[in-house]
Amino acid sequence: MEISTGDTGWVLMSAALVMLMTPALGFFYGGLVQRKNVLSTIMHSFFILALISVQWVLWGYTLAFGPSQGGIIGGLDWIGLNGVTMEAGPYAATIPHLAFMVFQMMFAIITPALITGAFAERKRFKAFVVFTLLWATFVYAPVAHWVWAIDGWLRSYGALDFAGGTVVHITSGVSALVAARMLGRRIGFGKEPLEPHNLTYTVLGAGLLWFGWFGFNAGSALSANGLAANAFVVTNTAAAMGALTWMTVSWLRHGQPSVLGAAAGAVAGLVGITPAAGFVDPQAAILIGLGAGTFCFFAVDLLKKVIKVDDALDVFAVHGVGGIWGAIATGLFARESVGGFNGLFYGNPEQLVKQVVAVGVVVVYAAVVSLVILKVIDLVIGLRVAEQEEVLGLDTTTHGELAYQL
Amino acid sequence: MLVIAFLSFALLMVMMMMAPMGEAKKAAVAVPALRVGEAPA
Repeated sequence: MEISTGDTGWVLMSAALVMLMTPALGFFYGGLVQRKNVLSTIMHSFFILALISVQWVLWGYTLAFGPSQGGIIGGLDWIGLNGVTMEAGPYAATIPHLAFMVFQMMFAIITPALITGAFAERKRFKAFVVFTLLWATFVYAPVAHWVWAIDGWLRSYGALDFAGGTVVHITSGVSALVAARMLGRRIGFGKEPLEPHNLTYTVLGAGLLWFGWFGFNAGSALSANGLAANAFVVTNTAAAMGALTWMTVSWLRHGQPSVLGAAAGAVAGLVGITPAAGFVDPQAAILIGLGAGTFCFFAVDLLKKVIKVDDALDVFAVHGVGGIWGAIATGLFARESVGGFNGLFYGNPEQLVKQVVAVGVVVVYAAVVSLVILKVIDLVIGLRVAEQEEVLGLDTTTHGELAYQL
Repeated sequence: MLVIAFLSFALLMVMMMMAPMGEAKKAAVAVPALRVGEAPA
């Protein structure tokens, strides 16, 4: 099959859309922290954009997508992108292998950036750098291989993940929860208000995330075709339902229609639809958005008020819970006429079992490996900044810069 | 070329780990006397 200019254009454009999501995430998170930590929070996302771009070229891509070694990890055939050319590769017949590689690179970048919301306002910068590099290598690359690579064991088993419910959101969400536990609560958590300092940033970030998510999900069709159009429509529908649902539940509970609730709900809806985008129709997307807005909202309350884990920016509640819901929902709502597979509601309960198995395996793997990485870093470098630095804020004490000269 | 590319990245990582954590700059920046829970100026 020949390289298609339309498909290539769409996938490269989608890669650019997904790239934009990482600085957008920086704004989303940056608005949620206290003003003394906004630069350090934005820096996490921006720095990862640079760090993982190089890691992916050197060894990340070949570990994730290289010729499979027993379904567990990719071989080193494509180290340094050797053999990844302008011709079509094994993953998409109508686009250059390099286009597929760079599209996947943007997923590898945003995934560890999602975790940074859990350790915002208190993690040492050097510890963050080392954690990101190790996590991308030992958690992201293997899980991406299991789920997406040719002969990856979860793909061969039949688990479905169109655009990263397990690979991106469950891995990052679960690792975020582990990181939040390991680092401990921020000074003042539960005693003083640690309020978002600028929700305009957060809404701006959410809007740009929503925009970029069209590349994330519709680009995952790897072709400018009907499947991409379906993914685009269900993505927008679930985001809208997530926003409406979270805001309404929050309004009923707290008495006011929260701006943050609408923004967080949209992101929850987007997370929920991610694994399902190429397998479900728009009616199912409404239910997936509804579920994401509801489950994620209550997960935030549960974590903060009952379990009292200081997952500072609710990464587990939104990405972990939303990703788990999305993966399971794929097993419920998948429809053969969309992506070639039926779920429970269309007569195939086996698909639901496969989705649950994939969720379980990825949750356990991400939790255990993240815990090991964090323990090692804690022993060698130390995870958390000194108390005085935390009180003064990381913008000045770590970066020597101020966000606002007001 | 691959070896040089790897070594360049590794060298950057090592330099990052050995770099000081901005002690000199800390003093140069006017640190606002903000404490947790205190209203911003």
